[in-house]
Amino acid sequence: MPRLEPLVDVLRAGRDFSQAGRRVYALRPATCRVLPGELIALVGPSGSGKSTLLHLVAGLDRPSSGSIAWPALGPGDALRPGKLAFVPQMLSLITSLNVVENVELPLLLGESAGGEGVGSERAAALAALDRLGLAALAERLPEELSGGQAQRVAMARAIAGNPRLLLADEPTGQLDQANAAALLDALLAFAGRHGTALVVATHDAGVADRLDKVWHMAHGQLDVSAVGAPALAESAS
Amino acid sequence: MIGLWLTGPLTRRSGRLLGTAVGVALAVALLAGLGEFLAASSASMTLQAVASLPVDWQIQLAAGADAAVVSAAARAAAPCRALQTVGYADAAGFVAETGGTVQTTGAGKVVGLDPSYRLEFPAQFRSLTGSLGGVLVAQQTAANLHVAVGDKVTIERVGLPPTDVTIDGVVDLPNADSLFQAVGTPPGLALQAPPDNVLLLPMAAWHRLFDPQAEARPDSVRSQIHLGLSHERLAADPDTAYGQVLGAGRNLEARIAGSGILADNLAARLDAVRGDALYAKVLFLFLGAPGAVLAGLLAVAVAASGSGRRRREQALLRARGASTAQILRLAGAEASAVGVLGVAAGLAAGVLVCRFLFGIPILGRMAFWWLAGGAIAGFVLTGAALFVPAWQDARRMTVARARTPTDGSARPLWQRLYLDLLLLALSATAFWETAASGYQIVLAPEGVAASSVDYHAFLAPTLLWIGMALLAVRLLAIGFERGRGVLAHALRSVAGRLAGSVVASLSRQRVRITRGVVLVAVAVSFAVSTAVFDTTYKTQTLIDAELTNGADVTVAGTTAAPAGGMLAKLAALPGVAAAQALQHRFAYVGTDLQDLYGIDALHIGEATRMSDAYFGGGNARTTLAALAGTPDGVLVSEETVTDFQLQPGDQINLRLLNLLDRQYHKVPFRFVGVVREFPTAPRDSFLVANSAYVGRQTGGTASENVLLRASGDAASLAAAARGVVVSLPGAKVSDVGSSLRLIASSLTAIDVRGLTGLELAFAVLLVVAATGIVFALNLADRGRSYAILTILGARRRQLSAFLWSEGLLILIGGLAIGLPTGFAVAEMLVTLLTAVFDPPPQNLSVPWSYLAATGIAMLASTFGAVLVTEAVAERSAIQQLREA
Repeated sequence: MPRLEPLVDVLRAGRDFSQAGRRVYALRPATCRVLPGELIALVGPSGSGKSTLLHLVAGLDRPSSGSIAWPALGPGDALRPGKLAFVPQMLSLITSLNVVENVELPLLLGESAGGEGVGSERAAALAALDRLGLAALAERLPEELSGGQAQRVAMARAIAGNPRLLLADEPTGQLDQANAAALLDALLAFAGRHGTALVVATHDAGVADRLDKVWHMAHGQLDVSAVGAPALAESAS
Repeated sequence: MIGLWLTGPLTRRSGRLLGTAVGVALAVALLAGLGEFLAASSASMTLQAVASLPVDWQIQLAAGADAAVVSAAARAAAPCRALQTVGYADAAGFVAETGGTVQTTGAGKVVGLDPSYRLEFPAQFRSLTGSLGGVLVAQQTAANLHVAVGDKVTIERVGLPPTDVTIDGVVDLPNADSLFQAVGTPPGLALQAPPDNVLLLPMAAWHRLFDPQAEARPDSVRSQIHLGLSHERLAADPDTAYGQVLGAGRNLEARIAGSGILADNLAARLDAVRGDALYAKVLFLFLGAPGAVLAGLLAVAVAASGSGRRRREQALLRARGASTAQILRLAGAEASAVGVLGVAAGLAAGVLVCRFLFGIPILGRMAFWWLAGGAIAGFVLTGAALFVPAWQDARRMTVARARTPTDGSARPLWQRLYLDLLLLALSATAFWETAASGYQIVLAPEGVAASSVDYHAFLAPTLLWIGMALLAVRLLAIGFERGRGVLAHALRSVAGRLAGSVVASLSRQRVRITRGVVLVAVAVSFAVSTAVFDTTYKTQTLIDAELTNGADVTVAGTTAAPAGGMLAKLAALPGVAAAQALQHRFAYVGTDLQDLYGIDALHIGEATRMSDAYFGGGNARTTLAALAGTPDGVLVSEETVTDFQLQPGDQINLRLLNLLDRQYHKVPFRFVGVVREFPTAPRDSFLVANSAYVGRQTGGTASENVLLRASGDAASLAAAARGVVVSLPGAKVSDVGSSLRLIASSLTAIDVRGLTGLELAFAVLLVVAATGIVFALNLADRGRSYAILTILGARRRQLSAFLWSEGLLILIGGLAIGLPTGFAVAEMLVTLLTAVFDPPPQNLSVPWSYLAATGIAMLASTFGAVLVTEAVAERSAIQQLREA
């Protein structure tokens, strides 16, 4: 079996900030890697550094120390859109674009979409919405959506470009149990179909249970050795 | 709590609050600066007007009236600094025999003056030759009689034998109009030209010669009391000062009823100046008010650009249990902080601009009220921009509505009622009505204390501004609704494949975009209209200066020593583009002596401007061609046409001085057209004829004057010309610059120049602020959207596509609407304010360099705003993620 090239290779990457003259460590030096097709849950209490790690892995932020590489995806400034998609926790949709326009936006931003014309992006966006059962909301504006609907639209936007690595920050945080399960079903089905690796920061034990690996974070420290997601309820609280 | 709350906006939203404060400061500075300027110039108008007046009151004594009693009454009616009795006697004519010829004039006047008169009223005379004591002869009379100091003149008394006097000096009477005015006739009813022949005698001699005449012919001799009033207590405002003086004059009339009649020169002068002061106020309203309103709109727009954030913050406060009263207290504290900052900065800027740009040192009572008014306006504006929206939100808001909404699509009532088109139609109608009816915008009837401004005239430009702004809103709404495809196509070069998304995004923010476009359009139109008006005014001032001086450089000789003899030498000077000779003679039209100008009608325009406005037919080329085609043709003033009921082609017999026999002879001319103004000509009646014909008929072809058009600096050319005519006795060389300084020191000119200077400076600031600050703040408010784009992987150029599309849309939209509106408003202003132009402009003068500089400032402002936002958006994506 050929050795898989990692999508992300994090080597003793840390992130700290200066706050009121004091150094705050959001992420202490961490080492981890994500292989193609891996399904990883990132769990830990609020403020433990989950979002910081996701931002670094998404190439949105740079580590203060250590390094991050994307061997199978290419240079860090060419990850998004296309190879890597990131679904933030709150900052999701552009309010002046309707649902389908929001979803097709990363396709239009992509270099590869070159001469295919707007029609193909619109079709891909509608297909992504359809996969998450959101086709009926295509023409609605974000202000007309509930928080949960907006989060699902953001997920549709992430999968519309068929990324090889999808990072999601609390994707089911605003969903009821049924909708959360349905979203996760769709996400796993998509990942399975396209071989997309998932890294999902979550408080939801149900979500973590359905993923292959669980990485724990506490006080900015990443622990990738643990298996399963014990005491999620406590950590979430 | 308030202190804690204010810390947030002052540290994290300082840009928006600062922007609002800048808008408030601009409005306050404009109001305070213009107001202070207006107050100062009104005061200077009064001072200048009364300072240059030779005699304030002339009281004509009734027959048998006691001069001492009337003098005492005058002193009681108003504090005076000088009082003199002056005698006036009619003479049937003067005769002088010089150089073997006898010269005889028509009727004349002999004035008797006390020797101290010239000390108390020094502006009445200007000594040309000889002394200022003894018998003086007026310059024109001396020329008519060919007399000089030491010559004898015979006075032909009325009803008595003639008597001889010896001339001691020749004087100029610069205020002959008022010195010889017809006292007691209603103003304008019996215009009286000053006599052509005047002798001035010491009072003792006058009494000796004319007391007998007074007994023989009492109607031919009269006395006046001339007064110089004390001006210390006069009000600074010309209108108020006019009321004061008029009241004092009426008081005197009541005291001396039956003993004398008052000619109130001071009131008449203030009467004219108060018209200027009213025009200055009108200009303030026409030119200044739109600027202040625009600055106010700017402040409101800047404040409104933060409305989304304010709503979210209010919702947050509400969610934390804050009451409406508490929320309003916080909003009030924020508005107060911005208000204090904006008003303080505005007042300081207004005072500094006036002090250092226009050298206005005073902070008098009128200026204080303007500053106070500006401050109040600033606080009201801050309240309207910050507190009122917060109050409205606090009343209506729920937490759910705090989400950032996109713009609604419902058409407002005014659009459904077509209010914009209605206002434009009303504006056109109002303009047509006011412009076509030959109205006067400033009504300050002579002799009436009450004055007024025809505020209806403001209706047309006001409705045009509002109508155009609303039309812009409608057109943009239509464009966003139906023109998305066209817009996407247009933006493809900027946004590429994202054009559709960009247009979709822009169209859903149409209220915000429209606000930006309208604000830029109003700013551009304000700058354009002010600049065009200003340039047109300056151009007309230059034309006026050229008209007064004659040409860029005028060499004035005399009939005895004509400058025309030096024409070839003058034309050969370096820096001369063209040279033309101009005869200046005198001719009697009936009994009226008028200036006569002899020209080469086909070529005079090469050396000096021949504006269409100078001629009755409104066409300089045609009129001059008609004159050139009629060798004995003459152009006369409208007054002469009316007085003599002339028709084109009519023969007019004029009496011209023959240079050979020094006698006036009848010369036939043919009336070919009307001339209103002409280079070097006086404001009243004059004649223009062909120089060749005048030369043939008067026995002398010499031209007294030479007009030079300069190809470079007129002052240098004038200096060179002085060198050429240095040997010519009495020759004077003047350049257009000196006339310009003379004209520019007149009252209205000062006001308009200063006012528009202030306006132009503010216009650039407002345009830059409108394009830059508002755009940058709008973009800052959408930082969230740009952060999402960054997270999705938008490259810098793709992010730029959104930014530039909005920037260009606002810029191009604002220019497309603002430029034509600005020119339309300028055309309207120039037409409505025709009275401040002399002569009236034929067309608008466009200040291309100022407009280009303003355009560059706009572009730079937009570019700067986009580039800064671009950098901030990229950097702040992670910050936004953390804050989310």
